[in-house]
Amino acid sequence: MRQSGSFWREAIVGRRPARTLVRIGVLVVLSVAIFGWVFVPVRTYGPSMLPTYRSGSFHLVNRLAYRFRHPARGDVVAVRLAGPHVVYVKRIIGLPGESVAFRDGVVWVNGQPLDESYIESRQPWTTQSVVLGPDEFFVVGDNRNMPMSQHEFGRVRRERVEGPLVF
Amino acid sequence: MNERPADGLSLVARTAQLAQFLTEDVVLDPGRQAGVISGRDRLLALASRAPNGGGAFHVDFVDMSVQVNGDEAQAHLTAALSSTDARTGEPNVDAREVDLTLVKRDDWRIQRIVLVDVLERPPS
Repeated sequence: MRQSGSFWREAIVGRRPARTLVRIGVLVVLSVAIFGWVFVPVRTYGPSMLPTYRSGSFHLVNRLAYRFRHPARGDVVAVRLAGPHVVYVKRIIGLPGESVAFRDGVVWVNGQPLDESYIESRQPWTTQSVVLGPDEFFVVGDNRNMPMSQHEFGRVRRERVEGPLVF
Repeated sequence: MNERPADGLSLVARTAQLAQFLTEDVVLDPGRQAGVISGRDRLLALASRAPNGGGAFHVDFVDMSVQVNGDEAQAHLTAALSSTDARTGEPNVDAREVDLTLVKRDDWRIQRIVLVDVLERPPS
């Protein structure tokens, strides 16, 4: 008859404790690598991405995605603000080489209005047209129902675009 | 930083404490198309009047890299600023990347402070 102590020991560490410890170690290392460098957690702060993301919500940024494809219009991305841990969360609306402007709240790209079905309501933002450089994107939050002066947006260099939000 | 001294003598002491890190001709470029602020006395005067709902704020310098070239050095760092609004009790956190130019005059002092702009807002 098996003793209860050896049953629980085997249930926890398995029949080969050394192998179990190695597996746990590998899982820990993989988790640190994945969530430290690949899928980095971020928490949004502020109203600029409403209604898509509410303030205080948690998400993961895929830092490897743009090694296999270019950032695309519509991607919601993390833009490095200060160091590796402080980012803006914004949506890409303009690509390198394009001209971007706001006219009464509508985004115009290369002289054409941009269809933004994710925008619920908007204030009549108006800006001059800017032409993006070869390594620049234009990013803006989804909350256009706030004063333009209180919203951080504009063109950003490619090197600061960390990756798209995946959750 | 920005703790309100109880009396004028404490304010003088605090200002002198901060002044030792800056050159007399220090320049602060806050970016975002705002004008530069020149001169140590002017910069310290503005810093001592910085509003925070009456509370103090804490500044941490992280992710620092420094390149030294003789009597001049270039530093790039992240300034993380945290405070508690005295009126609402809500925590405030902000961070900016900062480029510093330091020169050696008896001791290393900051000559130029540039706040790095991440998003370039289009003109209205």
